[in-house]
Amino acid sequence: MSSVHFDQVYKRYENGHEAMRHVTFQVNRGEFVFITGHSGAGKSTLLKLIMLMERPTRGQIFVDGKNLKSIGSRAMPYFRRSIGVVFQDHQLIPDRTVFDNIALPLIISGYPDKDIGRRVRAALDKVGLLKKENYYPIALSGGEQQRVGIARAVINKPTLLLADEPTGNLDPELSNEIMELFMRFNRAGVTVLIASHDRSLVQALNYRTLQLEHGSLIEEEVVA
Amino acid sequence: MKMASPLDEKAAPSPLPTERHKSFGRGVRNMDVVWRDKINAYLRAHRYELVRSLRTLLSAPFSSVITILVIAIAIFLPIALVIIVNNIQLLGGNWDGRPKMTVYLQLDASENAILTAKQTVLALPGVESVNYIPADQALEEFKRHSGFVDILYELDENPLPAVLVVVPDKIGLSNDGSKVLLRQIETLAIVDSVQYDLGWVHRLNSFMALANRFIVVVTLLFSVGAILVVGNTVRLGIENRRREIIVGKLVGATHSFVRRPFLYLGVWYGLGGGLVAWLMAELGLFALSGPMVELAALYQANFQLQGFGLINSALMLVCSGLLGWLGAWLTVAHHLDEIEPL
Repeated sequence: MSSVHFDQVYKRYENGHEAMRHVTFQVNRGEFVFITGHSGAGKSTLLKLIMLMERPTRGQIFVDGKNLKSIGSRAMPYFRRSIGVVFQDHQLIPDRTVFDNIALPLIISGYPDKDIGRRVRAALDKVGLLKKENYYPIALSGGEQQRVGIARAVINKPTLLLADEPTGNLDPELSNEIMELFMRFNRAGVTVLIASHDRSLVQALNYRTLQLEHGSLIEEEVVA
Repeated sequence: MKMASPLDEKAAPSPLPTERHKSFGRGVRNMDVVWRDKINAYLRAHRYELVRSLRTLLSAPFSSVITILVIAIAIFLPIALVIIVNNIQLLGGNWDGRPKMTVYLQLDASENAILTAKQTVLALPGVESVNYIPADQALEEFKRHSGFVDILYELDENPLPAVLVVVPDKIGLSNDGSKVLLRQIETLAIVDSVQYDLGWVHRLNSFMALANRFIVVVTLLFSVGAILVVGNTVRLGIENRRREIIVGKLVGATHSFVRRPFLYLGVWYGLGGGLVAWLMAELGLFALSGPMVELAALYQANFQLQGFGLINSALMLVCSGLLGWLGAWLTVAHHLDEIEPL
């Protein structure tokens, strides 16, 4: 049973840029997969297609066996709640505390207050920020902000976790910490898809890698 | 832009769409639980935004107060007009609403001649009833209802003639019928003069119709004004919270979730404006009521200014809230779809 399945996906933006050229691949449930390539190779587009920020021009995408074509704008919010996404620029709300930022998906889903408190603190504990729940994002370092983003991404207990350059601006040591977090979620059964241009980091971790170039899948490495 | 009904808000605690569908198949009892959860989640979401939006409002008290005052003025003007016209109508209502024909008889007319004339008039087409007021009684009434008591005591004899008060029926009220009736009564020998206050009633009625039409137009204009003010304020709020909206959409907020804080904000502005307008009106009435009673006393009349009443006040507040909601909704419908994560 595949978790993510791209079938001949072609994406052409309105400005004529071909971001994705007939990409076909499959990621199985519980897998940990890197997507690499130069900037502009289509990594972000690939993730955006999965979380319905973009729609493919041609081809089909399945997530947990469900064809994304069948998800209309009305059902889209509910679909997005089922996947966790970590953004390169964190996408935190500056005038809300760390706690409120992480709680947002739960508030959106309508959880009772006591459940929210319990789950947010559990998530904060997992990313090691338990003492900073009342801080505002601006008071945190880049690595800490990224960890808040990760806590928010996993708060709804998604089965699929997407991350776009999660170590983008971090030094190697912090990068390793962040990767360690993703690996821990993966061991708990979460399918993880990480877009990264950091070849050394990717190679060091020995996971399956999909390499994109100019929107085409040029290489699929499966490291034993 | 689609209007979302409350039931569209599927804020169930189970985030996965597939899970949601599964839970529907578990039999009646579980379905009840699912619905209770949904309703609870829905109420929770509203309580959350209710508190949050109030907090947003209070976090910028100065600009909130300015907005509320602008809305209050827009709502106050129509209210003031309604109160003024109501009071004029009330003054006018001191006459019996029905137009009457007052037939003044010759001063030297005998009682018998008067009674015969009364029967004659009653038989005329267009007459519903005739009431005879003898000269003495007319004087008494005049003393009671006018402010000229003191002058009347100075007079030795009754200057007032006997009067027949003729109440016309439908025919007698019509433009042509009234003319015929008037002519017929005037030709009677015993009649001195006839005063027909139909003209007055017509004039007052058309003035009131005009005033009411004016109120409708002013109310509409100022309501549009209030809607625009709320809309503009909410638009600024949307701009300030762009980031929050984008993040919300990214992590699965529905349209109604994104819309809700702004709609609440609109309702608060509207309600606040309505409340302030109401206070202004009540204060104004309070300030005017003293001088008004004095003025009425000068004419030996008993008149009290009428306020807006409890039900009308409540209705006005509800309408203000709705205006705010509408202003916010129009803006939100127009701007929120533009804000999409890229």
